[in-house]
Formats: sequence, C-alpha cells, structure tokens
Amino acid sequence: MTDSRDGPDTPDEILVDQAKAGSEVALNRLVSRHHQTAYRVALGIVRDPELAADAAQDGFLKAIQALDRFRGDARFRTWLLTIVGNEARGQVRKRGRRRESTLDDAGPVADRAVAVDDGVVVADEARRARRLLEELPEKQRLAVQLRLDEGLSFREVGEVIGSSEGAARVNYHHGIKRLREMMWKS
Amino acid sequence: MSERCATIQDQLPDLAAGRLGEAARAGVEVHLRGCAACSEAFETLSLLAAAPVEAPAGLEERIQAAVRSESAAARGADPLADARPSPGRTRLGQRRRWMAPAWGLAAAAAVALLMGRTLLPSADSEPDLLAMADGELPVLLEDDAMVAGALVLDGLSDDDLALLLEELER
Repeated sequence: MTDSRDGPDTPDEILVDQAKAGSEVALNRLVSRHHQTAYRVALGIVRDPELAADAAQDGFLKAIQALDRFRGDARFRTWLLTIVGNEARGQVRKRGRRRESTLDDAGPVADRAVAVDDGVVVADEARRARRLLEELPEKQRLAVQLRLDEGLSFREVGEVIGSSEGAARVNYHHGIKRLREMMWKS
Repeated sequence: MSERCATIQDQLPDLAAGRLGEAARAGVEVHLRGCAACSEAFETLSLLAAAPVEAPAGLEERIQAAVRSESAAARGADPLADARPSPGRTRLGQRRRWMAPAWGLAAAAAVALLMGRTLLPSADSEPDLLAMADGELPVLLEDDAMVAGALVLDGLSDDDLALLLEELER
C-alpha cells in the first residue's frame, strides 16, 4: 500500500492518488488540510454551527465515496467544497429553515490583533464585521469568504457557488461594498 | 472603478490574509496610499481577516473517524471493528451499510404499496400514470438516500423498519 508520510507539503493530487490506493494516512491528511475550509463553507450556507459540522462531515464522506470519479480536472479542494456546498444546501432544504446565527453561535473566532493602516484593530470591531458579513446574500457572502478566507481564485469561487467567474467577481465586489456601507451605517 | 483599481482590488484579499508575495505587496501598498476607495476595501477585508471563523474542536477527528469507517466499508472490511463513532452523529457509511438490505426490501415494499394504491381502480378516479410519471415518482427518487421510497420510509424508526422487515419475510 502506498503511504503518504513523505511530507506535509505533499500536493492534494498525490494524496488523492494515495487515498484511492487505500492509504488511510492520505485520507487523514486530506481531512486535516481541508476540514476548516469545509466547515466554513458549510457555515456560510447553513448558518448554524451544528448543521455546518454535519454538512462538512457528510460532504467529506460523499467525496470519499466518489473519489474514484475524481479525475483532477478541478483542484481537489474546489471539488470537495462544491460537494460540501451542495450537501449544506441539501440540509437547508431538508430542514426547511435557516436559523439566523450570531457570531457567538458560529464557532470560535480567533482574535488576531493585527495592525491595519495606522492603528490596531479592536477585536470587537473585527467580530462586528464578521457578524455583518452574515447578513449579506448567500452568493455575496460566500464570494467574500471563499476569496478572503480560503484564497480561492474567482474561477474557483464561481465553481463552488455555481456561477461564472465574472459573476463570482461581481458578487465579491458587491459584497465588500455592501459590507462597508453596513459597517458605517450601524 | 479604474482598471488599476480593479486589478488592485482583486489582490486585496490576498494582502489582507498575508498571502501576497513581497514584490506584489509593495506595489499594492503604494497604490493604497493614494486611493481612498481601495484603502477602504482593504480596511474592511483586514477586519474580516482579523476574526477568522474556526471549526469546533474535535471536528477534524470526528470527520477522520467517519472517513476511516467509510473507507473500510468500501473495501469490504468491517467498519465497526475499529469504529470510533462521533458523538451524537451517525456515520453515513455505517448507517448505509447497516441499512442496505433493509432499504432494499423496504423500498420495494413501499413502491409496491404506492403502485398498488395508485393502480387499483377506485370508484371516483382512474389511475393517472402520466401524472405519476411526470411529477410524483421522481420526487421519491431525488433524495440522496438513493432509493425509491426513501421519503416514505424516512420517518420510520429503526424498530418500525425492523417490524416492516419481519412482515415482509413472512
């Protein structure tokens, strides 16, 4: 059996090949690498931490079940996030509701006191920005999140949210603009 | 928005998240000093980047356990042998494996019941097979439980399913 103890920087594509060959180590590494992203994408859709964790898990399971069909046309992460996103939307449909969540509900938020321009960001202000982000329409919210938090290109953002690259870019820019307006209004 | 601003704004998330290389960063920062619109967008992104949302503790291990079990089941091994069930959550693979024979039989029964009810002549209506083909049966098939009748049976408890199976085996 192929193993994957050949370094933390092993590309996803290699890990996927190893996982297809039955390597549990490779599977574990893929989960370690992408569970945070999967959770955040799910949370961006279901807006409920418990449902988001379930959707992330079920999305991973469906991806593993379909791993043999993954041909590498897209990056593994984009492919996985698309599955997680569909899973999350399916959960929303099944539950027939979207529970509005506060940021406190949404899982731990790490405080990073970073310098912005000429001042230090107050953690409360950063939390407020996250809370307001939750109020954006889904595609705008996900476009901002996927571009900022996950570093996806606009083409990849489009694949995950089900739109073209151009529409993903527009959603992102509208999201930032609207968020900016909301921050100064409230 | 000018073309230059559009190019810069595309890079702002990477700058805010610390992913931008040194040379590109220097170029963007020069632009930010002279452009209020881009600076404001960057400030917003920096605030968001300062409060990243993190998955709950234990989610990684929980998913790994579920994936391990799913993988073992797919290879034909007994997933329960080294199962580490996640708290409060049935593993997809474990549930599917346990229920596979039950779903097959029970789904067949449910479909037979449904078809029987639809096809039996009644006093006031003719069976409408076209309507059923157009709209009703596909509803049963669209759920990811992947079996016809899943929606009908979804509400049944494990005990109810066991009883149904016993009935079918008689």
